[in-house]
Amino acid sequence: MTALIARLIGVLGALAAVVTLGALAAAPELPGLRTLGLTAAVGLGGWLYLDWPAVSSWVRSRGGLEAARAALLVLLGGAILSVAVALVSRADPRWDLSPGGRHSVTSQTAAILATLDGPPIEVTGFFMAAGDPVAVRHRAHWDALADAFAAAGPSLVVRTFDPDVSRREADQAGVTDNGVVLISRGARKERLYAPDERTLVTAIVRVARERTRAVYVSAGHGERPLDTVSGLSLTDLSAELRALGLAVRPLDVSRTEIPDDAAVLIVADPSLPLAQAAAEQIDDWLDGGGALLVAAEPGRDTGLGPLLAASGLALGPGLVVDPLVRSVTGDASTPMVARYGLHASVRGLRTPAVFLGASPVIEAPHAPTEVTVHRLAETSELAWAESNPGEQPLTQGAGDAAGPITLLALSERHPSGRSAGTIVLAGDADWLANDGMRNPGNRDLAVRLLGALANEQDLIELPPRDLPQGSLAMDWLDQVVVGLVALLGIPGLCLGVAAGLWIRRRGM
Amino acid sequence: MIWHVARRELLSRLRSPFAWVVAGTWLALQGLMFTLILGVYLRASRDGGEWEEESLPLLSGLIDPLYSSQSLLLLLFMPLLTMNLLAGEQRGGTLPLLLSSPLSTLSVVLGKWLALLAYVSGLLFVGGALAPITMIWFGEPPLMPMLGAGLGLLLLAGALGALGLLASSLSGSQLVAAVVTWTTSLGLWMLAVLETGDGPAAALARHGSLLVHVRSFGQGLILGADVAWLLAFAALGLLIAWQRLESWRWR
Repeated sequence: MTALIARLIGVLGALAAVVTLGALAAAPELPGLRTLGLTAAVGLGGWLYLDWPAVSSWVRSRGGLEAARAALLVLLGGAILSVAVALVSRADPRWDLSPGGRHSVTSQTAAILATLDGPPIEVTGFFMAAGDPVAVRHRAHWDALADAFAAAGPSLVVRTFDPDVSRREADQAGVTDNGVVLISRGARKERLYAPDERTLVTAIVRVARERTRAVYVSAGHGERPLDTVSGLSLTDLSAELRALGLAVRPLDVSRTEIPDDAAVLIVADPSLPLAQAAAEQIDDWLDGGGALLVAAEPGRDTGLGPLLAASGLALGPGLVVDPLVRSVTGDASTPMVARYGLHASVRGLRTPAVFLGASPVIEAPHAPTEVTVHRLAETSELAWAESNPGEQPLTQGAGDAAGPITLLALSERHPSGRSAGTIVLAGDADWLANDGMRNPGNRDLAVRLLGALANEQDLIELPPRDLPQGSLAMDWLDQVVVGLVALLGIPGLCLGVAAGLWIRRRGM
Repeated sequence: MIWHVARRELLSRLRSPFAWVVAGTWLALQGLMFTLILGVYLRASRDGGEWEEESLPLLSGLIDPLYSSQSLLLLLFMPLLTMNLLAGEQRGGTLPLLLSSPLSTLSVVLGKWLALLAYVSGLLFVGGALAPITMIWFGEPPLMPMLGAGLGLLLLAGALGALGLLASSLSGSQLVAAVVTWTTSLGLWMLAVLETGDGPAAALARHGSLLVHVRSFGQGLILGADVAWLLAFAALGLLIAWQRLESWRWR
């Protein structure tokens, strides 16, 4: 009886030893390994102690020696295989065969993550692993995203917790909801809800940055507001820019110095012209490499005319009339972009933006050695700049400038060969406001242009995931035929062979 | 030597009506599952909605479920296909004859395992080929994920075959061998239910569950860690079976 108990203890000890060794090699982070190892030692030791007479005589026999050799070989083989699995797991090679690389981040995201330096950024998702189908689907989507980001490089430490199970971690992070993702490096933190790839990577970039770059919107002169939701305000634009990781703040340039973190300054339709001191401050700031976007409504004086003229830009007389749009909307004073320029800030744009009552943008006399002007967006040849907007119906007269009319132009200042700021001029402010941003073309143009001015092209060029779907179309007859082949044809063939063999064996 | 054993074993299997009955049953079940999954997929595609949030309907709606169903069939049938490998030799009294031949025990184990793998690969190919042929004929499927799924099934068959061979070496009873293979493989498969959570049980499931290590193949993702795990699983099973067979020499 003692021998039987001893052997039972020995078997348990051996099992514990095998599991411990395997886990040590493959998953040393598993909790309770020390206890398991102790169990193995106690089990094996207990067996040897209690069953020593039998063990010693067995070990001295040939069978014992052979068994010991076999056990050693198996243990050694198991250890080698465990180490091999652990090494492969650590290297984590993966091949994504899914169409469109569903399980991997895009090359743009990978390139952005590769530029991150410094200590790793922690990305922690709190997703319920079980529960209602929506929660489970969110968890599955997050798991795929987390795997793809974790595999993208060593700059991230990606972890996932179930807030219902890992209460301590959820409490420490202050998480009470399902689907929350926290991104942190030191004291810098971001909190997202069920993000997609683009949202996640922009948040990671925000956290990785020592300083947040900001877009300032001129205020205090009756400009388009940032804090009031209306068709004329800039709240939608502000939300788009924030999604790119940029801070968006109002700034009264007449009273306040332009802060160091300013990447872009927007002057959108001031009803009072900016004072000369403000214009001079902007000029000085541009000299240091700033970027200015001026969006002026027709007939309004922004106070920045001399600064713009010195940079080779001006607003032309009249109102842009576009008969192409009139044929669709009935309103010819909403010109549509027919062609985007070749400059990087508008490269790749396809969807036409629409301007809602615009002055033409023209080139002012300038020295090409000091300023380069790029036309960013133009109307079609059919449009013209109407010098008499009150005329009804609007027809192109002899004094009207013929199309294509420039709606948006960019000036790069480079006196003495050094870069001294970028200025973009639009003869309309509505295209940037909420009314205009409803049009996808306006949204694309605004985000790409301002992103380029803020040097955030990488994030802007993150494309939406256009994953191939694959397709299958069958009618009921096709289904029946395939079903018959699958259910009867192929299995029937096998059963026929079996019957043939059976008959042959029986000599029938 | 290994090839000689494998060839002999494969030919003997192909001459057995039982192997063809098993193949017919396997393929009938596979055909049934394919027809059902195809029907559900086509109905859902027509109705819309069910997969409206999925980005890859053909992959997630058809290829992955088919892969899962084939994995389950492997789990179900491998014990039946492996139970006779060594237990039959023991029970029929041919094992001493085999061991006294110039063949090494390692070549016997590897030969039997390779023959089994060839037979199962044939079944997987014959049964599984209908799905890609249908998809190519009637649509535009993503082909690479199907190849990935095929690799996953082959690796799973290798791992389960090695486990079955080991179980078959433990006893002279084919029934015991089948039950041991079936319960062990099912237990390792079901370990995945513990994966929901973050505790030690979940970690154990992530490292030890068969299902966890085979499921990504059906989604078009091949993880090196999964491939290594399945190969190591098969190698360990074969190593123990080899040593078990070796022990018969000095008994």
